[in-house]
Amino acid sequence: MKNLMKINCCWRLMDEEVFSVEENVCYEVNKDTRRIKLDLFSTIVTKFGVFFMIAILAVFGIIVSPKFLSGSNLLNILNAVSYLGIVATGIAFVIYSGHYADMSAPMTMAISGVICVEFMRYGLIYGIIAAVITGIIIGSINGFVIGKIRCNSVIWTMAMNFILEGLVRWSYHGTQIYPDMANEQTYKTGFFLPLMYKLDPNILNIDLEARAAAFNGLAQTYPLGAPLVLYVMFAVMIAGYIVMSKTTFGNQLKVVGSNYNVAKMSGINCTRTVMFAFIVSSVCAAIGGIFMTSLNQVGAFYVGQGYDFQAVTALILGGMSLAGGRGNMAGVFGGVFTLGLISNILTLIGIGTFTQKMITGAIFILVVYVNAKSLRKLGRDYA
Amino acid sequence: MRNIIKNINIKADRTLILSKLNNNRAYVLLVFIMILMSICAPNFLGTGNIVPMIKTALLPIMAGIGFTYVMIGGNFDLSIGAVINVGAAVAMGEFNRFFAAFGGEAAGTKAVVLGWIVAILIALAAGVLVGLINGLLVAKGRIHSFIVTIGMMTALTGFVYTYCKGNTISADNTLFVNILERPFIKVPYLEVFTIRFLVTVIIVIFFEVLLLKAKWGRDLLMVGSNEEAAWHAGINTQRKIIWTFIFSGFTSAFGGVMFAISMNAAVPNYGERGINPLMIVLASTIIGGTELTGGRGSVVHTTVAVLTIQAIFNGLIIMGMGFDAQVLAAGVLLAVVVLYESYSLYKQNLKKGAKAALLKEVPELKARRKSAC
Amino acid sequence: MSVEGQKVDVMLSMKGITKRFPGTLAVCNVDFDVRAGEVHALMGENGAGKSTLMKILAGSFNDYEGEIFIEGKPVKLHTPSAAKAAGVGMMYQELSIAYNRSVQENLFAGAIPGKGVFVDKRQLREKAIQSLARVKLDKTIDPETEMKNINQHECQLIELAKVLNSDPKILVMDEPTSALSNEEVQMLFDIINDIKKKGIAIVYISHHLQEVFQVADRITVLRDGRKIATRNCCDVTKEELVEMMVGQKVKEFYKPKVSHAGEKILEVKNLTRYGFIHDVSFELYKGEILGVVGLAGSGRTELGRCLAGADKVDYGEIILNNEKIKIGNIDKMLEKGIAYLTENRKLEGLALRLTNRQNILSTIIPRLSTAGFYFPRKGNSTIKELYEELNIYPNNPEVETSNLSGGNQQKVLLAKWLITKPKVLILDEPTRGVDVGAKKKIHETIVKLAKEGVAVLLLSSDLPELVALSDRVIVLRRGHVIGELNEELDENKLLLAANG
Repeated sequence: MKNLMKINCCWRLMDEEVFSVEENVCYEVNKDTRRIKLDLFSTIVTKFGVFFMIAILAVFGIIVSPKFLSGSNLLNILNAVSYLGIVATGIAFVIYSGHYADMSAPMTMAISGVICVEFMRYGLIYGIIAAVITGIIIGSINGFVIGKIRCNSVIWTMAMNFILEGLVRWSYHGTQIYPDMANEQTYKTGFFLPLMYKLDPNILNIDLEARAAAFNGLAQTYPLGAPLVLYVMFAVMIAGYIVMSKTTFGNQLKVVGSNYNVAKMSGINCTRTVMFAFIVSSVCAAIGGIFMTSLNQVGAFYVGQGYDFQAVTALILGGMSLAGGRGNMAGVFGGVFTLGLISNILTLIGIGTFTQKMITGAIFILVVYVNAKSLRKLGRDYA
Repeated sequence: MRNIIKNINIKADRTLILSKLNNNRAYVLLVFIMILMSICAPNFLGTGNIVPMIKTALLPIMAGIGFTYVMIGGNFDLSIGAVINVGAAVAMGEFNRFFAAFGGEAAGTKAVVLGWIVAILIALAAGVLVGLINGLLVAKGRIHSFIVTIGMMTALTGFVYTYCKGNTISADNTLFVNILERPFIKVPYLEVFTIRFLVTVIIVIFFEVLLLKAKWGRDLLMVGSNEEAAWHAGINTQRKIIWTFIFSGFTSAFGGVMFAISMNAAVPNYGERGINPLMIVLASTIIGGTELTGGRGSVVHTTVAVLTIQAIFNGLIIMGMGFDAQVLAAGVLLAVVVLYESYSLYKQNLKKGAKAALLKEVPELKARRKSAC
Repeated sequence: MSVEGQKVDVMLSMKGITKRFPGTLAVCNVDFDVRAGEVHALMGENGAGKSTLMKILAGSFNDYEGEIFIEGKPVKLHTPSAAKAAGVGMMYQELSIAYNRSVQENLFAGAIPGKGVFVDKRQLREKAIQSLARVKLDKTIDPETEMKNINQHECQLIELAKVLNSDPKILVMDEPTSALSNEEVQMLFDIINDIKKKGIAIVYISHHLQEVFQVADRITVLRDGRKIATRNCCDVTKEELVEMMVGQKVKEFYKPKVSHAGEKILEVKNLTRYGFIHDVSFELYKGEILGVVGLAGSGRTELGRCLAGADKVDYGEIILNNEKIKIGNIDKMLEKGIAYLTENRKLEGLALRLTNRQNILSTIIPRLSTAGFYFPRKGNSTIKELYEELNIYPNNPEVETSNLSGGNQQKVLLAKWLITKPKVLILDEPTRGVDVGAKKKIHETIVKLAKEGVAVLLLSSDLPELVALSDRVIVLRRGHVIGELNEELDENKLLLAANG
């Protein structure tokens, strides 16, 4: 009975342009109807996506090295990708909303890191709040321009990235900011440092070292044996999962991502929804930036460089589609984890960082190609 | 017949002039920036500034040609930055290898010339190959160019680092370097005429003619404007798209080769810590009026826009501002142009479909409403 | 192939054409022929296979079965260029126009005249003017104008000119009049007659019976991918034709008219959007179906969009339940109880990649949420009711909408708006492109809604539909309301009123 229903659902009158069909079903509606050949490989690829790939990689890893399955190695993999995981979770919302990518993520990371270092003088928590607010502001601007005026998202966020880069470099005259630096010279450059100094010259005398230690400790804390940033990544991802699939916003975002005009005509406030997506993205980037800055122990414009492309790579591997409205948080984790796995296995084999990058790029292109081909074989289109 | 049509066309209203201005905004902006900078920055128009300015612009100009082509086809090529590095590194590395193979210093000029020819050909072939792969994946594989070129960029960056082993490569023999950068005449302003300059100019003209004067280019513009229409008209759309990517790979690699030779250095990460060439190229392509969705654009306009951006950079340097201010200025310029484009499109869409006959009634309606109030 | 012993040469003959798609048989063993200098109309319901048959002719598919002869010679039309070379010219339903190129480039896309590899600008211009002359536009349009500055009906004619440039032996026109006003249609027909005289065979696809009778010499009817019959135009009546197309005697569906004794629900005063609708006023009563008749471009759709808050309104008042409301965005209007079913299902109605459930619930996501969290299960029972009510097939809301037939998609679209429990329902072309069964179901549902007290504003270009359902009809012409018809509606009256 259920089978019959499934068959029925695929029987549709000709509507000329779209011929998408549900996978895994034989079509025996009409005597003349051609049967679609079931392609096992394609089905597996589209059904399990990135986890199929993780399985292959894991088998490969076990063969390559006995160390692969050890707890510390797995923890290493996770730790290595946790910064990326946080940023990618945010960008996932942007791709989900059908807007390709948030290319301003690297500079959002950098600028929030810098702001955090500036404000951490008053206490770590102030630093974090200031950084997150920075993220919200950047996200709002992106979201407004893209959601309301319908600017091309890639180009606009790239422009935003350049502007932010210029801002950071300009206000610091190309220098960097160290959390524990507290001489008078430090207060001459920066976004808010001169202002802080003007308001309260006593700021020179605060106990910066302890606070700097607290800030630098963010990336060095290991509660229960795992780095703090790993917990943060999981927290962000779980929060991301809840927001994406359980909330009003997430569900509206799915409609917006699937078809912007339909969403608009269905009474969904698209501008607001898209803005939310970009704000989520920027806030995640800001959190990632804080940790990244803490890890490097220096705030500078190059913190987070390359994270935009890496995040997109991970997300596409994880089954997100540039067409929007597709994918989920499990896939995001899967994609990020895959990148970690590839790099880890290659390291175990003894391949250098640069060659790893080359191989990762090649694998990415290959995976995208196979995925697109499988989807098309099953009658779906891939954007 | 012609007269009749001309008469219709004479409706030279304000919007027409504005749209003409907008179509040629690359020139307008260049003139504006030149005037502004020559007022603000002392010696801006001096030969000591103009010549280096043009020389710096040569690399983004080359990369911009291919980028414009790709964008006209309706795609992105984010891999140009990486291809520039590949071209530069491969040319240098292969020269050193072949120079040695052909006999090194002992063999003299012959080894140098042969070495360079082989090395440059290999570097250009690498660029073409990258473009071909990009193009095949986009046109035949039907994968979004954004994804393909991001993947390609990652792979190529890795490749270049591996190739260079993370170091700067210099040529073992500097004979050719001098030739490329040696001006023909040592006269102020005319110093700019070097082999590198001339080659760039020739390539720009070639691609501009191919785009706007040749049938091939018109077909490409049609593909970019409406792929389906072009396909129905019997144009091989996939092949056109593949060619755009090949051109992009070729010009970027060529730009990289000439840049590396003139600097006598190839680094694996040119632009990573400074101003990314991708940024300059992207900004100038858009400022030059290439439509984001494809179907309109001009190589010369992109070139002029590169010069504009370079003029801003140099002006800022003269005014005593550094790298940082340049990045900011370029970013703001790009943002303003993108915003302007999108905003005018947004406005246009609001009015789209309005009936001309009804719009004529509007003033009357407004007047009636006013009197009612 | 001769009628009444008179010898005519057959330009095109298609024999035993079959084309399958995954899941469907689009065209099945169809024979079709067209003579030189003849207009042969191809008719059928949506999904009957007309467009597919013509796409085969245009070389869009490389895997059809059957044989095609052009001037008696067998040809294989596997690519658009092969079809073009064989002499097939196709005018598409969706215009294949590159909007940011000039008129002349569009006219000669893929065949730009040149000297060697270069474009010959002078020749291009001259040829373009000659080409425009064929559709009588040479005096009004400069060939260097950009396409986006040309208005709709001229685009259509330019498209025709473009097809004529390749000197086709066979010209296929797929719904060429769908966006044209009456005068413009007449202009097109004049041009068609000119072309006919040159001995070109014309295939004319259309839904409009009147147009077909006016322009065609012979008519072929397709149904469900099979050929039903070919007749001479003079030997067949409208009723016969409809019967062939539909396959069953359709009993006209009539709704007893209600006089608007009910309470006034909606009052619209001087609604104006500059350039689209000017000073539109009307009233809508509880349980009433108010039809709006108007030609394409009369502001019918714009009226719906303005009321729904989709477009900006320059001024005007909307009074709902005796309360003046601010004209806001769609979400605000939806809260107030005004729902608008869009005319374009694919672009604005349904996100085809979502499941039916997601599509239906997309309008009421905020209503099913508490404290920012969304509980789609709360909508389950309503969806079930709507499924039963509308008889949506397959009876499973988890199916992706793209897998449904056009008719069922339209039902899902209706369900999407019914679930908002509107007080005023604006329906824009509620039955465009759906099969007869679905159409009947949708009509029944609309009437039932009206009985339950919903005020319905029906915007439609389907005159029988307006006649059957409406209690009153207001007439829009060029953005203005020019009158109201409320008794003894019939199609002719409506048509006359709309054309003015």
